[in-house]
Amino acid sequence: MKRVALRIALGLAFAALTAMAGEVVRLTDIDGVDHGRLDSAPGRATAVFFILSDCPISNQLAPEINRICTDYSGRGVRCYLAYVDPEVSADGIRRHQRDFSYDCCTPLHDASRALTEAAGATITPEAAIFSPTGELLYRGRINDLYAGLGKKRREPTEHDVRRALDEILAGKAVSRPRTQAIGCYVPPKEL
Amino acid sequence: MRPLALLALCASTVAAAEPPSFTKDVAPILFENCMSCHREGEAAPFPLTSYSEAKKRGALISAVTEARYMPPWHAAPADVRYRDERRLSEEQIGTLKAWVEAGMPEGDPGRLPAPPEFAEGWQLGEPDLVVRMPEAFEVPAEGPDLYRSFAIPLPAGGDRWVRAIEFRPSARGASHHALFFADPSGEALEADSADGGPGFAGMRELRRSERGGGLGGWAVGGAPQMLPDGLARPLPAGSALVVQMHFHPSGKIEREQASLGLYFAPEAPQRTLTGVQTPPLFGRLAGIDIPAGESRYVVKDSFELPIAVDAYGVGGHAHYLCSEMKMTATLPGGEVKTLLWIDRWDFAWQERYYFREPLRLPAGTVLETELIYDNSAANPANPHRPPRHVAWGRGSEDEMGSVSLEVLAAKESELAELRAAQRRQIRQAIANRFLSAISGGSR
Ligand code: HEC
Repeated sequence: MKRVALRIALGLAFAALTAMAGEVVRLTDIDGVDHGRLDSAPGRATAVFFILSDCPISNQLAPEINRICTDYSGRGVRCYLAYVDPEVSADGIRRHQRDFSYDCCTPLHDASRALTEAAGATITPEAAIFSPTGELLYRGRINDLYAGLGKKRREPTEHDVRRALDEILAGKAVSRPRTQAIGCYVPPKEL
Repeated sequence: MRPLALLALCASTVAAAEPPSFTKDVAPILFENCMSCHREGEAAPFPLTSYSEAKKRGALISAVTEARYMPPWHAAPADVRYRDERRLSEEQIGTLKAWVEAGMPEGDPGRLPAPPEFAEGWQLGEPDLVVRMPEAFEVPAEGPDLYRSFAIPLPAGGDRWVRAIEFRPSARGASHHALFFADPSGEALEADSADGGPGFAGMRELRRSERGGGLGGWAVGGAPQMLPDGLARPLPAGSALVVQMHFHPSGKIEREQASLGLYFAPEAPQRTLTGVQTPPLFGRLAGIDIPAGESRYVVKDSFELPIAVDAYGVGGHAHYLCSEMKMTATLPGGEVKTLLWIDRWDFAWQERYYFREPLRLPAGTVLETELIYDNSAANPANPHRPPRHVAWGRGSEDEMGSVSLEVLAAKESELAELRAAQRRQIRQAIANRFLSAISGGSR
């Protein structure tokens, strides 16, 4: 109960902060279609995966990102792929989507970094899960396939995003709301 | 101090305080140490050939070089120098870091050095024979690393001698390394057609390499090399060429249909390249028996050279649990030289390290190998969760381990003596295993 209260308080603080900054984060896809505001979203959660098309670790997780989004799409979770490369073109994104059979979710180009900053993401691949009011419920690795750069496990043993989504859908607090992602840094906004 | 010297000193301290720039300081490091792989069409995932390409990944460049994850090079500094050593100095790593901390300035574009030139096509010139995998193998998009062997029939001919094999994979993002073997028995071709799909599973070709038949290997980014001094490896008449490959699923399905260029010696070499492996037979008789959870299991072995040899290169082999391996040579005078020390063994990098100059080891030199295994849950490479007891075996989830030195007898006529000593060592190891078994020691 206390926890829930704390979460609400934190959520309010977050909402206040974003309101103070006057930042309304809208989800706009690569075709210019507006998917609405991050802080008034339908469904039960919004999952955003920050990726780079030439980051090997990010690419190795493509099949799992696809599966997560497919597995949870019927349960009120909306998924987006946020490309953080300032130079990537819409065609480059489409090509990457085809190459890696990304058919799960809508790709966005976060050139302005509004979404990356709202999530506090610094790595690719990194996941962020937002509540329908835009509260950041989870940020971090997708799973622990990598223990460090160049240290790959044969199989992941912790499935952090799945666990967080299960907890959210069960109405519970996320037990590990922040984890350290392993991969490539989000590049500078301007090159 | 003379005034002029003082002035020079001042100038150099001022220069040192200035942050590094891309064109003056960073580009030379990247061009020399990274561009062989990080350019269009090569194995690495992105090019590092221009300012914007480097700036985009600046923080990552600093992180991977500081962690010594890049450039890939797994041998710690030893008492010998290796050919094509890929190791940044502390100073170079510091320069990259300081550049990132200073906000990655470009500097004077006029100072950009000319990028190195790379030859197109076959690096060693036109091969004597080019072969290709008969069919493409589909590498799955994900899953654990994969080992698969492919048998390639060769055009008929007499005995041949191989000076080099140049390897060109087609699935650049997924192909990590390859080992080549000659198989005169026909078994490999049979196994290839018996197993559904191109190639056959597993690592059984290692058995053949225990009896010789190895023709070298290739690893990501490795430049092909001719054996020096007229040396060559035998490819007996009627052999198939077996390529054992290690794949690293990349997130998308990739197709591998590699081409290989073979370079032959005009005649049989005068001297015979041979291997000295400690422990012998990839540790089969070393009693490798690692309890679950043991984080530092040590295997030691030694071998005294009965004759003088010239050592050309060194390489280790072990599976996932190995964490460290070392080979030293104690010369008859007592001097100890480290020939190979891999302080963070990574199963993915089964490389061979060639010495810049052949190293003469006199008769009576003792080669000592130490292999350390980490079978704890804290080892991310541990294939078993929770850890399980692991013993010697050929499967990738079993363990094995040895370090082998590639040598020539200083006098070819003494080669038989070396081989006899190696057979004695194996007989002795069998006797020891037997004694420890009947005395109720390890299994
Ligand atoms: C021998 C070839 C080779 C050389 C030399 C090399 N790299 Fe790499 N590099 C690779 C490969 C292959 C990968 C992809 C790793 C993977 O797929 O797991 C890579 C990946 C990287 C990455 C991305 C990290 C990751 O795994 O996500 C960075 C950054 C990098 N290299 C920087 C460098 C720098 C800086 C240098 C020189 C100081 C360098 N590399 C030299 C082959 C090389």
